[in-house]
Amino acid sequence: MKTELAIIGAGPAGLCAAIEAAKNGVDVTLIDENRTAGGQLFKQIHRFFGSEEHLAGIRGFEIGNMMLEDTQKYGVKVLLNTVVWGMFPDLKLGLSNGNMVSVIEARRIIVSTGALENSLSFPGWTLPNIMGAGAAQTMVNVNRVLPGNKVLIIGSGNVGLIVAYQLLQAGAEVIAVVEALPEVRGYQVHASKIVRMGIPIITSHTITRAEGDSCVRKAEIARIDDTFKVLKGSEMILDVDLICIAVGLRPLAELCWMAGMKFDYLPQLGGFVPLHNENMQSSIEGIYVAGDVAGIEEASSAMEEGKLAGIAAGISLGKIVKKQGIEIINKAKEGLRALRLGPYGDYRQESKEKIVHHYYAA
Amino acid sequence: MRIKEHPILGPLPVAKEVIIIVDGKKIKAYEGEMISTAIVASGIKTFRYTSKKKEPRGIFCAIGRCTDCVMEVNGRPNVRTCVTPVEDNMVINTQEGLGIWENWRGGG
Amino acid sequence: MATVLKKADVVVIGGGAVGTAAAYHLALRGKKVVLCEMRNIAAGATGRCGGMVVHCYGRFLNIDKTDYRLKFTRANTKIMKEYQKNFEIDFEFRQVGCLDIAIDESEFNDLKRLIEIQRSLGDDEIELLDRKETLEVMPNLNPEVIFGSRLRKSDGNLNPFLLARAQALEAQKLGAEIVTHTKIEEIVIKNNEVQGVKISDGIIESPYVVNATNGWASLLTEDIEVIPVRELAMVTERLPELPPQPFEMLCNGDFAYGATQTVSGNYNLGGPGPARPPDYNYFDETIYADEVLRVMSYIFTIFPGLSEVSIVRSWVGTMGFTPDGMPSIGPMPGIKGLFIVAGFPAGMSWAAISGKIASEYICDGKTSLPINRMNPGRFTGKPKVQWPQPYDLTVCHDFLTKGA
Repeated sequence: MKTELAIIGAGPAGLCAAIEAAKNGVDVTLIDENRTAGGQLFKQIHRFFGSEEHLAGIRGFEIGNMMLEDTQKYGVKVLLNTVVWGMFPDLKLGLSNGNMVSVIEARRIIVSTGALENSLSFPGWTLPNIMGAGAAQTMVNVNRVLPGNKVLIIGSGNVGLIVAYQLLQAGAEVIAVVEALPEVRGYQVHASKIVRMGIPIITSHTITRAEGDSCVRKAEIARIDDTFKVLKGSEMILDVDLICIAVGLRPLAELCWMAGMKFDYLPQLGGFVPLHNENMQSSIEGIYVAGDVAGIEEASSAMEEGKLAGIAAGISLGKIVKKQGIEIINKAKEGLRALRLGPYGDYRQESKEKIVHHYYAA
Repeated sequence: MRIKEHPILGPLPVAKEVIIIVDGKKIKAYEGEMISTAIVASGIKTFRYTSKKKEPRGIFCAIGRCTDCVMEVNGRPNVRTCVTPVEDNMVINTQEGLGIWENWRGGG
Repeated sequence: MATVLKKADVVVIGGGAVGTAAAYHLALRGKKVVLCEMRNIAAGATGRCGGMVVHCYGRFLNIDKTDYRLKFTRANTKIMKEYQKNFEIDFEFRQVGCLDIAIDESEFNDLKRLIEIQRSLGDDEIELLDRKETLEVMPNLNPEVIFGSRLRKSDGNLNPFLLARAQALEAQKLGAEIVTHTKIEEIVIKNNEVQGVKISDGIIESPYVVNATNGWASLLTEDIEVIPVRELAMVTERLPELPPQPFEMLCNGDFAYGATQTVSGNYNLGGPGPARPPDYNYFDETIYADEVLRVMSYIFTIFPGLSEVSIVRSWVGTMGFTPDGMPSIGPMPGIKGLFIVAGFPAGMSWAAISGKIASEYICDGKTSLPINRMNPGRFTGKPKVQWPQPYDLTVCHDFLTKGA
């Protein structure tokens, strides 16, 4: 099997890359291991922020649907239920759809495999109903089931705050959001919303253990000092039946490791991030990265990076006229800069600049 | 517990009912949904027990990456219930450890 | 003048099963040992192999070589059993037997002749099994492809990481120093006498150096013809306990493909990939798609059930082979103080004894087993091995029609 551009992962980055490239005549194969495309968009029932350009005011799953329609419109070949089990330095991909194993040869590849939830271990953490916050979000927003009724959320980043709110919407009682650092990590607007709904955000605290039998029943939280040491005597026991761990994401970049891509370690972007230049080209010629796999940000930046990578790949294939392509690329870059402004964006802008710098230095 | 009415998502979409058999008990499920959805809706939290310490495990990532939610489905062990859709008369059992090799081949 | 960083009685180069064995046995004899490893303990073939313990690997019909082989590997097993009694780390050595599979009548006849030779040497552990008997030992094999097999009950498997770590730990307890991420740039030799080793920061002075770098050995010591050979391996998800026999087979006279189940339940599989062009980099640890599919297809022909399970990870490793299939163990002729211990197929069956032999030679000037057959200098002056294809085994192994 051959294709001009293979895109791994049909989330927002992959979908945008596929659409931009296919619009311009590139033969695109978009591969996803799930039964449906859209990645994390389908769990997002809240309205997006940003400019009109960035589809502000539209709910995540609605954006997902729009993009899926576009892939049909532009003739993108979409392979669902298909795992990419190997990415090789000669731009071959190993595929498996459960029945057949095959190898596809691509002239260019975009890796947009997204991210993985971090976990936190503490005594009792393996008990049933202790799950990732993203998992709870999936159960509630996609599968329409509520796994528990008395919830404790660990971590006050955007994921923790948003999931707290969404569990409330689903009918659960959210006992608290616990945060290890002295300040709330996510956007103030999300934090204020849940505090108004009666969910306390307890900073400088961590979970010290969980107890239960066939399901978690109790959680112990305690205050910690600025060296993360537990302050004896500050322990509190909470009655819970669901604990959601929201302690960050990291790039899901195993395929990149496998193919021999160079990485850098940037905790601000989630940990090990594949090196790439300003056009999303990785250290392996012909392979690009876009979205959370290139550094944890959000859906809007994933979409812009996807667009960037799609056009860059198209130009390098000779399918997109350089002049026009560069115009679109510059627009995407402006969009990214806008998304990376302000107190919540500065550190991402800085980190992304570091990656590009290291790409050229390496 | 199924979320019958949701402020944003609206009412539960209509879907065909099917029956799955979980540890011998008949459980109602809806066509097209994942096994783990039906299991959680019926109030079950423990999906399997680990092989060395026999500890209970349930859902962790819910998107098919962590393999914590695996159960024996139509005889075959290590089936990820969060990404496997239900079928009418599917037989699902709490998995003990790694199951039996004879059930891995050809089943499910 | 290069800085002298430290002084040792012996520098061992290479932190795999063999190097750590040498460090342990030397430290046991009271020597001040410094072991230098370019990457991490077990980062080379040791950490990439299947961990199979095979006393009489390969289909050699040479009586002399077989005799050597059995002597050494039996002594090796004895030492490993002592390790199990005394070492802190359990390296999961299980003598569960190993099947060498014949897939047609001609291979089966080869095995018959092999067994005759082995029995003539007093080997009473080797058995010839027909198809039915083979399937009784390991019911999961494909009856359509199995003609028969050779079974040695004293073969088995172990955890190679833990073996290397166990030996390293015990060596450290006895005062050995283990230095990782330290590449040896050269073995310093003046007037045909070893002075020590050169690393990036300076020199480690020592009158003795043990070259235990296997696939890399010829890069440090010329003329010993240890040839790097690249092999592919992969591991499956954890499976319920199956008959744990490792099994291996030659395919069309090609290299051995093998598989074995570890204590944790994962199945290790491996074998060589397809031939690569002559200028191929044998130390390249990248994997290619066609290799993965080829190894899988061979193994699944023999063990069809494995095609139903998930392969979790795959990797490539560099082994070391010699033109006559015997390891090189011994002092390098003409150079005082240089001991070579490299070039091991089935390395887990040789590591412990090789380390002990190295310590015997260095401490006593003589060894408890004869090593003249494994003289590292035996290829010097001979025409260099033409290595047109990486897996041209007729150069490397005795096959039926070629003999030694």
